[in-house]
Amino acid sequence: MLALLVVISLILITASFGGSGGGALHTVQSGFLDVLSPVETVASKVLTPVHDLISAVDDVVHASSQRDQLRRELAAAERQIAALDAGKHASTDAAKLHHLDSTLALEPDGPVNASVIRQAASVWVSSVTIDAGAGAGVHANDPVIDPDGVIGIVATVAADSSVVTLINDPSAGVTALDAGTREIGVIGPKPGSPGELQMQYVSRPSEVKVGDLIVTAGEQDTSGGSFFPANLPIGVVKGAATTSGGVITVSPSADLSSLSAVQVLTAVPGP
Amino acid sequence: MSDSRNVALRLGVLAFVSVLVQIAGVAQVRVFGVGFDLAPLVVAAAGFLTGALSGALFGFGLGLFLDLAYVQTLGVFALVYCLVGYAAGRVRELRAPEAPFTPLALGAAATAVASCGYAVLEVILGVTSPVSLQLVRDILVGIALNSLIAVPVYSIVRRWLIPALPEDPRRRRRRAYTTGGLSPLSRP
Repeated sequence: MLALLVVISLILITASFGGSGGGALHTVQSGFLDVLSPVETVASKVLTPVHDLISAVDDVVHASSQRDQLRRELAAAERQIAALDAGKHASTDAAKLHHLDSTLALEPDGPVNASVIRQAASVWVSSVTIDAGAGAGVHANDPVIDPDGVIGIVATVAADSSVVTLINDPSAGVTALDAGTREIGVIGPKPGSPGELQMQYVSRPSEVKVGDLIVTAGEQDTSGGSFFPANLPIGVVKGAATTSGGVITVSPSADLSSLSAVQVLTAVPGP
Repeated sequence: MSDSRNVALRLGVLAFVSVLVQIAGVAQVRVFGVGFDLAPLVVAAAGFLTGALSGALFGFGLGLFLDLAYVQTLGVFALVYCLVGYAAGRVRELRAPEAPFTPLALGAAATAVASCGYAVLEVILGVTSPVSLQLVRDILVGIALNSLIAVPVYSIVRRWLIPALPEDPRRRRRRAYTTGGLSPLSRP
């Protein structure tokens, strides 16, 4: 009997395999399918809840691994975006610095590009650390600028890094002038307002108006430390003096709380 | 209705329902990309319970049913399951295993034989896709999945067929002892 069944199977295989498309066996198969399809549809509907239940369990199992995979992909994408953003900002900052150098003819002042590697720890700390030091030709009291203007002077120099005292530090003092009226004064921090500067010792403070651009005067600073080249942007007048002894408030051009690409002017003639 | 006709009827219903459940529900449930396969489990269980000849006939019929339902080369499943059913019946006739894990081992072995047999036949018939590690993995996962459901499937098939089967002498003997009858060795 077994042999008979095997032989029948082999005959069926041979006939079915040899026949192409429209033989009698295919007709039988098609007819069978026509009969079976409605039954299969009903059975499928009846079994759908069971199928859905098992699929749901399977989905939950897969969801866990898919979630982990997606988290990994998201983290990788975020790292990629951060790298692209950093590259974009670096490129923008470099272009701005280059533009500032060419506009103000700073090439003779020996600009050395650097990056801020440690920001000010808080709004009350007015120094940052940059990744250029004595090895790059940086000296103490060298002026430091960023694409928007003056940010400070080099206070301490190490071999590969330097500490920059920002212009809003109490020890800082930059001789400045009103770019429009040529009124001269000294820029220093505004007490109690770490994000702002004030301009003092102005002979005719009433001449300084809100919105005036304040730039470096190209003179020696009050501490006798260094020269800033002339006409480097410092900030914009935010509050004019209403009386002869009043305070002129200046909003710094550079965002001193978030510095990245800077330039040290290493060849400025010293005092 | 005679016992043999009753058995044949129940086997026919079993084959029809098994194929329907397989193609309408079970085949669509995928775990690790592989579906469960009721057919080898049902054929092996039926062959094991009814004997080699009945198993071969049942496997042939169920396989032919599958061949028709899947609209593929006729006779492939019929041949494979015919041999599976026969082998399961022969195992029972020759060795009569009664260990608790017998249904599990039977299901795993039937799935392995059916998967490998089908793959070999497809290769012989000229399937051009190479035998890859993916195929081996799928076969192994299929065997593992079927092993999980082998015991309940065997239990269901047994429950369905047992009323129509001639009473097993060992079962009859066991029942006699438990209901107060004396063992032949205890009789005076």
